[in-house]
Amino acid sequence: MLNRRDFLRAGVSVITVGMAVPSLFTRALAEAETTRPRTLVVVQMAGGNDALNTLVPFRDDAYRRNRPSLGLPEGELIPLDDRFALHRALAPLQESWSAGELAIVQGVGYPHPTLSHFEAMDVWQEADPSLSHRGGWLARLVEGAVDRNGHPFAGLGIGPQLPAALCCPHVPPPIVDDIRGYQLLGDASFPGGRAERERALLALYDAFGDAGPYGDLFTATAQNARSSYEALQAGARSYAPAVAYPPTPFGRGLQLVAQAVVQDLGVRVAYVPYGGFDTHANQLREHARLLGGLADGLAQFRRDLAAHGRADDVLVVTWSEFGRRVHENASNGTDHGTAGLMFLLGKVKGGLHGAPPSLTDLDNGNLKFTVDFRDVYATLLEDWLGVSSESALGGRFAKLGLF
Amino acid sequence: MSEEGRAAPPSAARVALGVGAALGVALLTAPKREVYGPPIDDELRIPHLLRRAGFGASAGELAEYRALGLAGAVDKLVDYEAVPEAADEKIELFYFDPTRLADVQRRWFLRMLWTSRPLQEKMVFFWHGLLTSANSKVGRPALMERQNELFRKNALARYGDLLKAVSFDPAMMLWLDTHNSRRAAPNENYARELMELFSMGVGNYTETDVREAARAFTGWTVPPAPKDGDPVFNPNQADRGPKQFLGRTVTTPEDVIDTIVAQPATARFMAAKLFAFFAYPDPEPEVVAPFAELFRRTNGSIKAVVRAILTSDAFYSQRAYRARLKSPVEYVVGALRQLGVPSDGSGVVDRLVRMGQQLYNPPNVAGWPGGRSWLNSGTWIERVNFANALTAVQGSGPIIPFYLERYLENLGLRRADEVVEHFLGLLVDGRTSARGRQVLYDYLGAAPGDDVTGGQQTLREKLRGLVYLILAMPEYQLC
Repeated sequence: MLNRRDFLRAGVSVITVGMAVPSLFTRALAEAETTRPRTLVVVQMAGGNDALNTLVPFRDDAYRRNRPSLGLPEGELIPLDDRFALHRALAPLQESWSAGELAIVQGVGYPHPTLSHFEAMDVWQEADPSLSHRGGWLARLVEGAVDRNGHPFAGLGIGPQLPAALCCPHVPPPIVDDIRGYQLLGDASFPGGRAERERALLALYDAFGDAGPYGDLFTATAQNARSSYEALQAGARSYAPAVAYPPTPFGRGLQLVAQAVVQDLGVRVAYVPYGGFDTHANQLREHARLLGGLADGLAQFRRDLAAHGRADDVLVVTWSEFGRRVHENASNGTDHGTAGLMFLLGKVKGGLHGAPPSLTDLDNGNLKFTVDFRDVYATLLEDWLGVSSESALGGRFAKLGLF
Repeated sequence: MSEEGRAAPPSAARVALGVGAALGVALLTAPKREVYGPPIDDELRIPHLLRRAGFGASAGELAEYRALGLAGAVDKLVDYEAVPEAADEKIELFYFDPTRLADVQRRWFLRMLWTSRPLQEKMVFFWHGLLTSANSKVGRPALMERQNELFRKNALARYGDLLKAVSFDPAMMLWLDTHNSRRAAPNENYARELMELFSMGVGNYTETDVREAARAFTGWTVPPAPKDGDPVFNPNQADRGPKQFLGRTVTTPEDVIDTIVAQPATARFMAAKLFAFFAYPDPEPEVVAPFAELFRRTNGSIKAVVRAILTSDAFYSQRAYRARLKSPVEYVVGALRQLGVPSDGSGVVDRLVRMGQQLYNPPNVAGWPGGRSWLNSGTWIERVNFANALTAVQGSGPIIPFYLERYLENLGLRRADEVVEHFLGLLVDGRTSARGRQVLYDYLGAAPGDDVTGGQQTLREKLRGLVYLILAMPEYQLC
């Protein structure tokens, strides 16, 4: 088996010789294939989303008692059944709900939860409550697994940073904050010298090799930037979105993922962060804004994919590091809590999944989880992407009937 | 030198020059050499020091600090009160609207660019990354700037004093919700982060400690703009009863902080944070231990600990050299300072954002994770494109005003080898592989002795390309 250094050395030598980098984005769709490759889009609701005000147990007395000022009035909600209703800012997702394309898993958590954002984020991203730091669960997928057709799972991260869930395979996935700037610019007065300068630049990275603690990172990053920007820029020229995405980093990120899917760039795992759910104070307005932005972006994404005939090939899953405290605090906000919820949007078994956690049988004021998040991950890996979940999750987990 | 500055052995810098472990600093040099490797060459020390305790130096600054010797250079950096701040009067010439984020970002950026007190500004940058607040939530740029001034004033203060001040800094109070935290239901956000991220780290306190500490920070509000934000105390909303905190009975916020600063975990935590920031990441406990001990002995003197780090063998070791990946701020401010670029900061702060670092908006309360996380395909492209903006010509001149031909003329550099070696020396200590150097000469397409300044158009363009390549090369991403 190739180790990291062998791998990089091989990759780099290809770069220097002919610039014909083995594309990180393998064209996944061979003619002979009968099934289209599926893509998983992971959306992070960073900061700890208040699940109780997202999927509201609107007739539960305990909800009213614990949320005297934050409790959402029944008339302002979107009822799903006689017990639960959606925050009205999620109205853009109503269409998907009615079509049976929106699943909501309740009570998601893990044993002995931490109330620290950063530990909890690591737990979810490494799929490991013991935090033994084996790397991200999606990185393990991108690294080793192949699908039924033998294709690797190329990853794509949106935003300024490599998310911990995608950290750190041999070749890190491309990370794109804004496609408009995702290219090496040239010297306008010296257009003829551009190729030569770029060749020298890559040769300097090659010459540095894997020396020191960052050598492997430099070579992999330069190589991966070079190959991915050309593929994505070429794609951006020929793809036209069928909808108007929200003009936000989240909207632009979703649009780029849609482009990569529509262009068959082989992206099988995409990661899109969406932030700011740490609503310790004056939660009502901010939470509504956040949920509205989420729902609007996802609804447009879905429509765009449908217009390109790819809606059934893409599943969106959301996660947040924890839910929030059942009882509101004195700042019209909520403090860090435990169990939360996950949305699954796509060709799923629509509806509510998982047992709703009790609002009266609490652990230090926090919900007791009813579904281990790794069960959801296992279901996504096995039943959506069609790979064994054991290596990515470091163990076997029960599956839910989500598909 | 101030009282607390003297807590560190004054001769430590001279010891670091390789004289050997003098008796007086045995404690500081106790960690074994084999942990961090042999010392770096003497001529690398000053540029290494100025990258870490500052933002990198121009050829002129390097000469100035070299003339002071290593010990003198450290003293000049640490005892910065003796140095007049050159940035002040230059910044006076600009108008900034303190209610606009872009304006306050640029004002801070220009301080880093123009400061004659590099360590003080580097500490401001350190504190912003540790005792974070973000305008994304605070929403009042003037308060972010006020916090920035607080960091500047307390850049090397006693840690307890800084924590007490920052606990009642309005931006921090809005960021971590002590604003409006009331006796009836204390908000735990600040109390938790104070212990988890600002002092001891997870595992050194209980959930009960969080709840008890939160009680001590109740009763305060930050008046809304356009008021200046001075916190207002409302005794009716304050919990002034006794709290059981870390095994002691305490009452006030000051008690809570005094208790925290006295914890051995805090000494270890702060020593490791400072060491990792200045010397190398993930230091071994035995390397950190003497600095933690110094923190404890000096009652939390940041000045003493920083001086000790900057004069330690570990700091000038092979392990520390090029052990850190430059943050976007270090990369950009460094390039502009080193090349003496007369930038007024416009069009540059946005580039930092795209490289992953927006001043006054760290991604979350833990600050920027740093290290390897700075570099990915997207942020790498941004760095390389910054090098392009500095060197490429668009229309009548460079996008960022670096005038290479004038620069070479001022320094009297004419021959290919003079030019290549000047920039390699200035920017990467002249240290690159033989192959790397060859790539540069090959690109330039000139023999070492050729005059490259008077030549034809292509050669002039190649000279700009040469500086681009050095700014973009792996060695320059490290510090």
